[in-house]
Amino acid sequence: MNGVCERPNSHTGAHGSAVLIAAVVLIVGAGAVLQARRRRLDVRRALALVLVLGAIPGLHAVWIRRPDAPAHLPDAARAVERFESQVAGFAVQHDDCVEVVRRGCEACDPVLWFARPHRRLCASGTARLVVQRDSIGSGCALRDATLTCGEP
Amino acid sequence: MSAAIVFSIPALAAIIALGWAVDRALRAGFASAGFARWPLRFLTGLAVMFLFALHPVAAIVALTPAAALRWRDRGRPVSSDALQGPRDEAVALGALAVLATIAAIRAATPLYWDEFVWLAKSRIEQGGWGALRGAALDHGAGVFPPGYPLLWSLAPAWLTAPWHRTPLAIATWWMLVTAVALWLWSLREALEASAMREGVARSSVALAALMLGATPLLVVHLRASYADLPVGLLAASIALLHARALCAATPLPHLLAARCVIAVVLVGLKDEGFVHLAAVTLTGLAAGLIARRTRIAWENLAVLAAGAIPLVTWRLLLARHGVTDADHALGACALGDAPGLTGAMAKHAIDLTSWGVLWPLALGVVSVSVVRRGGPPCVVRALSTTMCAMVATTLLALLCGPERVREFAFGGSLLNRVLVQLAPLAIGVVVTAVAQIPPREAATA
Repeated sequence: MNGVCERPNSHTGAHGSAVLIAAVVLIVGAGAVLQARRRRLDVRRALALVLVLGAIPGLHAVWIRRPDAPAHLPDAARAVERFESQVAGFAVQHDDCVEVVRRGCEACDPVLWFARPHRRLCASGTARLVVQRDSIGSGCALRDATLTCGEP
Repeated sequence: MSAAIVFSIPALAAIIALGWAVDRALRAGFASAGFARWPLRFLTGLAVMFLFALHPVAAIVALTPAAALRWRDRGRPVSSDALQGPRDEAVALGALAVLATIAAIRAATPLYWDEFVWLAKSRIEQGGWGALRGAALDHGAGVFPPGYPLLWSLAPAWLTAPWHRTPLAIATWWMLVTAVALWLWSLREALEASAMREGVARSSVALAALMLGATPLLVVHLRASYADLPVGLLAASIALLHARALCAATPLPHLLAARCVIAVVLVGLKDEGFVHLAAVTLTGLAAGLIARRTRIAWENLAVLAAGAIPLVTWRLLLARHGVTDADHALGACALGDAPGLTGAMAKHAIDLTSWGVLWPLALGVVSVSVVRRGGPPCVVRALSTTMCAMVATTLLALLCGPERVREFAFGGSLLNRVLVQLAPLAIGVVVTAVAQIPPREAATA
């Protein structure tokens, strides 16, 4: 959300993206030339054209390349839902009295707030939630009273 | 996704019914607002619920002046339908449908950082009416971040059916669609004040929708549960309706009621809402005084006062319970950072991947329009001035906020989010400026 960064998704090759951008620019450009030749290009149309042409790289990222693009959305949502439900289930099991051990997963923090909106301060909790690198992608494993998420 | 939207309809209908009752009782005249009558009634219901949730006294303070005005005007006709005549709303409704569809292509679960934060608080409110207010005013409850306005978290909880596990992200879709509808309607109203041909107004609304739906970062925000785009759309709506009131030949009472309702919701969503509201209304106040039109000046004061009710109530409650909104506390201004901050904002605005050419285009069109012979038309002048005031107050708020805010501005996502809040009005300025240019055949005749 910081901006529309070009973070390529592994499913989409850079070669295919370049071809797509070139094709769209070519089609829109040809349309513009045709319109101008017929002398029917007014200011509103010209403005719309410039706007769309300028937005193509960003729109390509938003609709195709980013992990939140429609094609990749189900995978991303599934991973988040799995992690969130594992954490929420574990917290409910232990009456929301859980000690959270953070080991390098900054992106997990907001999901933890969402999974446990009522965070109680516990004096003597025995349940431990260990959150490590790539916890959202890898999921969690339960062993005794410890839920370990991600990879060390 | 579509099934989940259907499940949220009963709660939506109940809030609209409340808004309809208030509209009827106070003769707000929203029946004159065309397709925006239902979004306005939804916001009215939401605003009344929100004020009661904050404190019943806040609701009484807000409703009493409206009831007094209704009593004073009891003999007059309700609205100004006859003044406006029938309008072709097909383009605006089509644009709304397209933008709503884009917004619906989202995950039912949160994916972005702040979505989790906002919707975690919604989950607290799902525990029962007033649960979030109680938790937010209790240090021990650990609500994060402390002291933030509540409405963006309350609304999803109120919109989700208790008998169905409706995803909270769906409820924010309704909020977003409402804000887009009001923005399109307000734009249509502002274009109306320019007395242009019907075809130009239609194509201008379509151009505005294209600018919103084809700007990459705005598309991302359309599909997310962030509050920044709704805040921007609602602030722009107030500015556009003010321009309509300032430049119209006849007074349109329902526009004032609409602006007051939008102001309450805008301030309830985010602290930045009041910054934008102050910029819009104080500019409007100055415009009214300069034009010697006391009615315009009073209207802007009324809208500012409406927005101040939730702000003051919430701040008093926070102070009483010893909770501080540390992220948005104003202090000594770091004016030395002004050039750097302005430069950083400009750098963000010209990032092609995020913004396309929206901001360079907006700056170019507005500059040409303002310096043209004879000066800009009334609506363009009003909107351009408001835009400058909004940018200036936003920068001032960043400079006078805590150090952490500036760190976040220079190194984080804050400036792009501020630009998202400013973009809907920038689009409004561009569209109204371009609408003044005569069509090709008329220009060459």
